[in-house]
Amino acid sequence: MERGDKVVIHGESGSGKTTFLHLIAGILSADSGSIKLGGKELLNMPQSARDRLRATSIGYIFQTFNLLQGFTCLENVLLGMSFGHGIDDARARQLLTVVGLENRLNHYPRQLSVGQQQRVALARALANRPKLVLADEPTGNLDPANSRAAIELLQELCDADGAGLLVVSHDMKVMDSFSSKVSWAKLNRVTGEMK
Amino acid sequence: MKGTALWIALKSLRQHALSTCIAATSIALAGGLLMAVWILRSEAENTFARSTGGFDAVLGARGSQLQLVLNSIFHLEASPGTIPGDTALLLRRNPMVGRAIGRAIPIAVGDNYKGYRLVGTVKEMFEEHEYADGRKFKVLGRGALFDDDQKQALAGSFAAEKLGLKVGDTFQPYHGLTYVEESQHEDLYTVTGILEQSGTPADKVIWIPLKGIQNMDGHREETRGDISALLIKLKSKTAVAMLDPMFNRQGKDYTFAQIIPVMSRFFQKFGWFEKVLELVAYMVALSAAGSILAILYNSMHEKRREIAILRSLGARRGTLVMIVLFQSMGIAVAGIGLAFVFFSGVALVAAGIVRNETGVVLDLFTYHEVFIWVPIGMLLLGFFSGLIPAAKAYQTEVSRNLTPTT
Repeated sequence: MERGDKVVIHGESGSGKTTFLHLIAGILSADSGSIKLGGKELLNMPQSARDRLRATSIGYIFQTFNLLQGFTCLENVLLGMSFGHGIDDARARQLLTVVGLENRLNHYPRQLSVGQQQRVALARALANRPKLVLADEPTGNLDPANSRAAIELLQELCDADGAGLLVVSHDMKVMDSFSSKVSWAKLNRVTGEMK
Repeated sequence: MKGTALWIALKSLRQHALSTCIAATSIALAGGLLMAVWILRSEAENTFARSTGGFDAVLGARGSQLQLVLNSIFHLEASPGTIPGDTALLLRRNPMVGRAIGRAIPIAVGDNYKGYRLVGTVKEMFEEHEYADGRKFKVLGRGALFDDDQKQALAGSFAAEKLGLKVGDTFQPYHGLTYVEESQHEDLYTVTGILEQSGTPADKVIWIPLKGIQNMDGHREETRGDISALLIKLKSKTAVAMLDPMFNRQGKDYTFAQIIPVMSRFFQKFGWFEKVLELVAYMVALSAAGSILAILYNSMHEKRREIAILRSLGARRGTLVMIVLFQSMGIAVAGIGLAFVFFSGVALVAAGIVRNETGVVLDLFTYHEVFIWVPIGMLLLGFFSGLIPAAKAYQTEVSRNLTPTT
């Protein structure tokens, strides 16, 4: 993938797509092969360096959003920043405004609808101006209208920051939103490299 | 990163406020109890040793030294008996003893007014004697000392407050040291003054002339001239070496008791009780550490996903360890604050009881090294209690605890 590319990987459930994203994010260590992000090889990188790289260069969006329930919307976004380039309150507020949650800054996740929670997750993923955003079934819990809106918003946010976007999904509508599609079945022959 | 870890730790403690409070309270009970035991013991020992009323020794009837000191100085316990009223005169006539004794003030006990002791003595006690360095008893306001030949009384501040006595009031004493309503004397005493608070046992008695006790109606004729004890101020502490064997080994009629050593031995007898309380405090501390460990360990289990999310956001393992340790030490810090509240409560109640019973004012809030090392101990306890949960957080497998696979 080149900087700013947007790719969707489609494949069957349980076929290892999440594991693949975890490997790219450095959450899991690969046994062999090569994973490069911005020219840096992740495979031989120590855990702490992978953690640092994940904090500063990767945004991660989960199917179940994974917001921290004890933290408000704003705090969830700030938390994402705190492990990366540091807390930037103005940017966190701006991102939440862009995703339409300027009136929900101090709401807790349980006080939000599913669609709103997803938008907080988008803002958090973009908080550190990552080079790459990984989205694991980002619309899995959304209704069709919210799904389309979420994908469009995600693409807009990535465009604004020049971030690459790698989405895994088995949702046909999501796939239709991307010009670049990769079939999971062919992926074991692909070497992903972000320049 | 420390700031983030602290922020997350505090948020988490607030989120689990009930368990945080339970753990902090249990550690506070241990810390507060330890501080209370140590401060009460040391302060009581020091204060009672200081509360000698300005005297070095007591000479009384043959019997227990402790009973003599408690009765004469602290106005507790029964009198071990009486000694002849001219004892002071006889002592002064002895060239060796006379030179050793600076002041010898007679006291006589045997009556009370509604449970507060009447102590007969001479005006010298208030006019000349210093109950502490440079401090004499003072009569408040327009009051005055009693007249040695009149049925007059000078009330200690605490006794006056509790009995509601004021200058000009009259009262009829009761026979004996315990208040029995049927045993009232005919004699009518008038309060001539109230003593300023001295923080000594003198505050909780009503002072009357020596002759007042001796001549109280109903007292036996043959003992009218007797006194209960002589309170002695020595010219030199070395005189003890002469007086102690003279009265306690060679003589058979008197007991000579040096106040400070007697009180020290008295407190040493309570050493076992202090040890039991310390043991209880250590056990509470141990259970508090256990509860912190259990609460955090269980929360680590519940928070596996939360930990995995933090790791997915880029939190390092070390940051998670820091978060857990901040949590355990945060509980300890809250516990320290509560421990001081708990200690203050115990100290106030204990000081009140001691003052009620003895008139001695314990100052339990002055600096003591225990105020430093108990909180340090509590912090260490918090730290060590957090180690195992921290290790669990460190080992939490991220990938398995994140979103289920697609």
